[in-house]
Amino acid sequence: MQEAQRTLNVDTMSRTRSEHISDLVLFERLAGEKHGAERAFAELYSRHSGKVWALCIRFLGDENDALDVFQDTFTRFFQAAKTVKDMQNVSGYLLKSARNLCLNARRDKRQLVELEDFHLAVPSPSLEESELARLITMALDVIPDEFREVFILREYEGLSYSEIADIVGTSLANVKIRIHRAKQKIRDVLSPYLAEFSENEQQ
Amino acid sequence: MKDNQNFVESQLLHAYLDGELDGVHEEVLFNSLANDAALRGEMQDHLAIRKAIQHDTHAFSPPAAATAAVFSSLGFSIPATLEYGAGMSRLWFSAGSALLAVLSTMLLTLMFSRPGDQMQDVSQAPASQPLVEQTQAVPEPASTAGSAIASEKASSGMEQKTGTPFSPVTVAHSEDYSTGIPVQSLSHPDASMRVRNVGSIPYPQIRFPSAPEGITVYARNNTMWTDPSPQISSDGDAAFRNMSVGLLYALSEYHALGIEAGREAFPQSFYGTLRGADVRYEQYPAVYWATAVYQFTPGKVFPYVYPYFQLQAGSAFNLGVLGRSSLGLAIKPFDGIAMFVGAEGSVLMYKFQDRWFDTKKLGLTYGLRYEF
Repeated sequence: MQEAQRTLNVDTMSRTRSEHISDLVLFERLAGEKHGAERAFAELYSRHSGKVWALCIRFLGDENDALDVFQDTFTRFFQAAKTVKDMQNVSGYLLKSARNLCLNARRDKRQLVELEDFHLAVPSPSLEESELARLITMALDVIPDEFREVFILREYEGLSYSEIADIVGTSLANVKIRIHRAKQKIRDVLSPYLAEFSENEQQ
Repeated sequence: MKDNQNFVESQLLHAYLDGELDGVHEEVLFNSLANDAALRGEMQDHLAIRKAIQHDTHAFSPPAAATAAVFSSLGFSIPATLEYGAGMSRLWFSAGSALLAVLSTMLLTLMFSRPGDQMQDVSQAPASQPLVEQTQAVPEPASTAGSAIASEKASSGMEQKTGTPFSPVTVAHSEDYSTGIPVQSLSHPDASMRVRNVGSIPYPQIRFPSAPEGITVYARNNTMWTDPSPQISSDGDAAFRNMSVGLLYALSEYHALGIEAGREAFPQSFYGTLRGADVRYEQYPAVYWATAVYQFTPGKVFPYVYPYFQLQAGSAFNLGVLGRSSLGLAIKPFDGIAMFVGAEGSVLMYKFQDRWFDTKKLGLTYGLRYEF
């Protein structure tokens, strides 16, 4: 995951002239004159939008909800440049902000799919990797928020346990337990399909 | 007891897969893996899940609507590098550039050639008639044009008075009895060609590569007034903005069908809801478009002047459907090449949150075309 993320970042950064400028310097420019702020924002957006979008879309499931939270995250982030003076980690700030907004959105619109319904809703799977990715997305929708968020931060964002603890605001020990349970739950939900997937892989 | 042991081993496994396990516990885990098939199965399952997530590229690509919403909410224009389908845009850019280069070459060639001048090879001259030969000293031709000039001077009896060294050339005067036009023939070891004397200095003419008859290529530009009027600046990359290239095939004297593609900035103003509140969005992207073209040309109305009417339907990539129509005049001072100018209207229709919106444009269009 980290490797994929690194590749994504290098690809987007290589197309800009601001690639050598750090996140923190760009963040400071957001509070400056409009043209410079616009360019700095565009660069920060190109660096972090993929990670933020992954969190939003996989946490919320619904694209419209994800779009609202995604937009809100970046709008607030831009406005924060005028007030936040001790920014340490732009990526962490964005993910924490997106995570909090996702939780709020989830609270406002709670539509959990029952486990029985999940199995009925899934068509006969032809277990290619893209299909499994889609099933994981659906499985994420049926596990509690506290497990979903750590699973996404670990597996999609590639964050370390301590980084996750910082974003979620809990202890390292608690994060370890939550990640373990989250993975077990995802595996339990997907177990019938994983067995078929393993058979296909071996063939 | 056994369940508790499984739980601990499973925790160790997850920590290991996440790169969070220390060396001491690694050895414990490896021993367990060696002896426990269920634990190995669990590891395979988690690796499969991770692999699937790594290939979930959709999750890491914000849709165009998300990027547009973020930038428009802050009053920024979307940078070209973030435009959705940038790869496809680059492809169109390359194809458009290549087509423009070809058109430019053809137009330049036309500018430096003159209609009516013909070259004819010796092999095409009538051989049945005997030539009356004269021998005069004329400069050695360095090129085709030089040969022609030399023969002109020779035929008028002019003597070369320059000090330039030259070798003798045999000039043969004869009469082309089939047409009555005087023909001169140069016989020189290095210059064997025949020039039809039409009273002017013939230029070398480069022939266009042959193309099926009825094909027309063109390039044009647009100057537009728009509704809505843009309140924000357009995309900073101005390359080929409001420019297009097209190709037509004549079905008959009056009707032609073809395709056209170009790049154009479309200001957009549309409404949507954001967390229950009505929101107005604005953006001004420069996008690539392509349409099918139908052209009707009723015929010449004045010398060199041909009116035309054109209808187009297609799409602006990643935005919506596009319709255009234009009415104008083509002016053909020479065979093949034409300048045209006209009035054009266009409508772009796009959808946002299940509602349709449109951008209308009206203005002038002008360009050049070449008819094969």
